[in-house]
Amino acid sequence: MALRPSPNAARRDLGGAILGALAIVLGSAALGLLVNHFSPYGIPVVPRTEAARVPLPPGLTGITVEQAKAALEAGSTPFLDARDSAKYAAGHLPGAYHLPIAEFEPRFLDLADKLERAPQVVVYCDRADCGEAIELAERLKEAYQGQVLVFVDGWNAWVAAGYPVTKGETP
Amino acid sequence: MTSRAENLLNHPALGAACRLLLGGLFIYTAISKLSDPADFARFIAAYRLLHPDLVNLAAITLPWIELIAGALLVLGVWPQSAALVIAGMLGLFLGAGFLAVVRGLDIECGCFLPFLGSDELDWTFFVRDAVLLLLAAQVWLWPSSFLPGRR
Repeated sequence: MALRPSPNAARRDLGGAILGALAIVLGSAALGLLVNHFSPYGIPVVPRTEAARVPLPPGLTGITVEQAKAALEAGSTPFLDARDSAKYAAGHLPGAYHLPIAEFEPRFLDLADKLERAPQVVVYCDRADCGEAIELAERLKEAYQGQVLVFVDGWNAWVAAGYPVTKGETP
Repeated sequence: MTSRAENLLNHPALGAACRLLLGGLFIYTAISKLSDPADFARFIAAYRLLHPDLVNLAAITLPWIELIAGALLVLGVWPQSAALVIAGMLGLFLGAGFLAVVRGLDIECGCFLPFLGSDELDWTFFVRDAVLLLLAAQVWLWPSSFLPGRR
């Protein structure tokens, strides 16, 4: 029937269409890798370390949930929760201070004593793409002398790992 | 299928509309993602589906596959192959979104389509991707082209 040429052609061309699709995928991927290699916004194809698996802005170091737990247990590293008050009150890492970006200045002054004795701090928010922790880390780089570590996977990963949490208002 | 319905489904205007809409959307989202691969990688990582070593590779290559497939679809060059690639990606996105919801992940979609519903993984995400899959099916079944000598 005259109205059905295309479906029949589609069946005949199935092999060709699949080959074409493969060519599109491989060619585009190769082009992407090439552009990424020369682009100033390029990112490493394979992250060099486990902690660096989520790309962070230059000058920031990421840590994993296991590294965060080790740092918390060691006790000498202050943890800073960048999320809003409701989330902080609903649950945070044990001993973590609340330092949301919206209230950075007054709260940072309150915390200055505790922070200036520590060689490093860890910041976190909910998850890898929440952004608040990175924003806080960028602010801290200007105000704080020590090293700022970003607990990349944040609160969600901490809860998922079954590690202990604390509820309540800011200490 | 009645010939009336089939007349409608294989109408060249419908084919062109499907290709323009689907290809245009993929070009648009690809450009949003291309401008900041690090940001896109964070969205992919949040789905927790890929091995951490593969997240950046996906963030580097996926937008280019979207861009090229979208452009080929708009132009009508290899329309069936381009539709196949796009349908494959839509299937991938649907599967990833479904798994994220099933596993209770509180994540953003990372779809980069601010004008088509929220960026949450809610019902609009699944309906939108399913509709886009139908557009890809139209192009697959009745491929068309703007280029001379092709149909």
